[in-house]
Formats: sequence, structure tokens, C-alpha cells
Amino acid sequence: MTSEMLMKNLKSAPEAMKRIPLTLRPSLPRPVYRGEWFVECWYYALSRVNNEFMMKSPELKAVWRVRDMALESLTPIEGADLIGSIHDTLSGSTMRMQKEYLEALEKALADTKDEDIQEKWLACQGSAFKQWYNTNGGK
Amino acid sequence: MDLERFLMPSEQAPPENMENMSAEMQEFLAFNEAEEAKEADITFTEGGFDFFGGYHPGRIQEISEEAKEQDPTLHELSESVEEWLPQGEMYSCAVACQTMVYNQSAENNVSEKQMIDLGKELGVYNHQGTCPADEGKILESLGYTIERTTNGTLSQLENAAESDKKVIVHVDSLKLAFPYVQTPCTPDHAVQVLRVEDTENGEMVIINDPASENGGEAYPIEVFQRAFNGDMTVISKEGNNG
Repeated sequence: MTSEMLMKNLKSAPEAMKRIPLTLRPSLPRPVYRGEWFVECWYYALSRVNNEFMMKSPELKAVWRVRDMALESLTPIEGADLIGSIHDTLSGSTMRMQKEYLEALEKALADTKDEDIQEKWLACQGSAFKQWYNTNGGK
Repeated sequence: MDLERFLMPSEQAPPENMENMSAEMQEFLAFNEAEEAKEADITFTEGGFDFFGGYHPGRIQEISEEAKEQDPTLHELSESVEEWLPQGEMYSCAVACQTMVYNQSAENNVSEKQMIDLGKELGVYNHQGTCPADEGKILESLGYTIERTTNGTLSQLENAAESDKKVIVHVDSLKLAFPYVQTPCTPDHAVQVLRVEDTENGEMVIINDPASENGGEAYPIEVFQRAFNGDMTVISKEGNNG
């Protein structure tokens, strides 16, 4: 599966259409290898405050099996709150890093090692999500 | 040197004697003049980009009374804009759109709160919103026919909006506000598309956006299509038992 297809499926896979609310956006998928590839994905909302888009902390965490996009688990995360602007996520440098990450992800999924690609995943997150993830461990 | 032969026809001096022109040409020019003099049926406030690349849509300023009398679809457009309502909860955009559609039938008048309660009862709305597969299900429970597609095209959207049907689409709110951000199109918001109108500034998509401050907002089609990935619900009035 290409990373482009993977990104699309995070919102449009049949299970996503039935169980992920329209209003939540997917994070970049974080790959995990457990005998086969899975991706973890956090779903969050944007909120417009004074003409600026702010990110809310994720409200759902999903684990997808890459092979067939089966939904392994879907866990609600309580207490969504504004965690910061998405301004830096939209900067040219972050967008480039995310593009490079998605290219690297496609190659990684052909192998069995997940540590390097997980580091790349964290490095290309916007500051608001990164801070939330580092504080909460993704939960 | 005769420079005039290098000029475009519109830049050339008119012929001194109209009799030199063919009857067809005279008719064509008269038609063009009349078309230019004719006032637009719909006038819009001006939309545009700000310094930061944010797009601020124009909106319908007026639909001429004469046009509404002559064209029932313009009369319907005017009434649909009047049924615009702001979403009452952070994630209730899809319910707000369904409420607008429902109230656009003359005999109906419900509040968004009533529709939210019905959505909860049906299990198609909760505090996180509506799942895409459940779009339109509140209206379906009220006797409407819904047809969902995830790969609709702009021309399908245009045709549906022109017909007797109602259209709710999913858009990426970020790309609707900042059309040129280089993120993938990830719809996270529902709006009602009322019409695609050919204007002197090109084709405009007229929508009722429950997250805005007014109904009847107009986006140039090239801006709108950046935020739309084909996810649309077409709602028919047939079978509506009110």
C-alpha cells in the first residue's frame, strides 16, 4: 500500500466512515511492527479562534492493520482541549519533512524495523501535537 | 504605416457607416450591448484573499425581484439562504445542514436542537459529531431519500444543485479558509451547496455554511474544489411526509 493510499484510507476506509466522526482529522500514521505492520493514528479537531486555526488535543486513537485496513482498536481520549496553533505545521519546512516522512514510510513498510521511522514520525509533527504526545505518551 | 490593422477589433474605430456592416453583425452587436446593459440577477459582495493567504468569501447581496419572479430556482435560492442557521454545537455542522434542508420545505420548521436530539436518539450524532456514513440519516428518518457518494465530481455537484434536490457536501475547513496550504484534502466539515452560478467573475459555488456568520456565501469554483474531495449527499424531497 502506498503512503498516499494509507493516508486516504485513514478517513475513507469503510470502518473509518462508520466510526470516525467527520469533524476529526487524522494525524500522520505512526507505524508499529508486531509480526506485521500496524499504524497508530490520532484523530483531532481544529477550532478557529480569531481567524487562526488551533488544534485540539486528539479525541480518538485508532490502530489500523496495514495489510487490509482492519480497525484493530478505537480508543476515546477524554478531555479534548486547545493545545496550540497549527501555524508551524503549515510551514514549508514542516510540509517538506512530512513529505519525506511519507516517502520513508512507504520504504519502511517493506521491511520489519520500526524504530528509525518512528523517530522520523515524531520529528515531523507540529509543535502543538509533539508537545501533547511527549506529555501524554499518545494517550 | 497603417497601424490600425494591427489593433484588435475592439480597439479599432467603429465604421463610419453602419450600413457597411452585415445585418448579422449589427444584430450581434445589438445583442451584446443589451446583454451588457442587463443587470445581474444576483449581486454579490466582494470576496478575496488577505495578506496571509486566507480566503474571505463574498456573499449574496441581492437577488433581483424581477429575476425571482421569472426564475423559480432563484426564488428558491433566496428562500434557502433565509433558512441558513449557525451550528449550535462545535461538532454539529452536519445536523445544522440537515436542519436547513428540512426547513427549506415550506411546511417544516424545526430547531437544530430538536434535530440534535433526534440524531442522538437514532445513534447518528454524539458529542464528537456525525460519522460520514451517517450523513443525512436524520432526514432519512423523516421520510427523505438520501444518496451518498464519496467520489462525486464538480459537474455532478453542479447538476444536483440545479435539480430539485438538496446537496450537503463535506469539505476541508482548513483548505476552504486557506486554499493554497499544501496539506492533503481532509474533509472535516459539512456545508450545504445551494447553486453553482456563472458570474462575470467566473463560476461561483454558493453555500450555506453553518460555521459562518451568514448564509449564501460564494466561493470561486477553483477555491471550492481545493476543499472538496467528492464526498456528497444528495437529498430528494420525494417521499417527504413532512
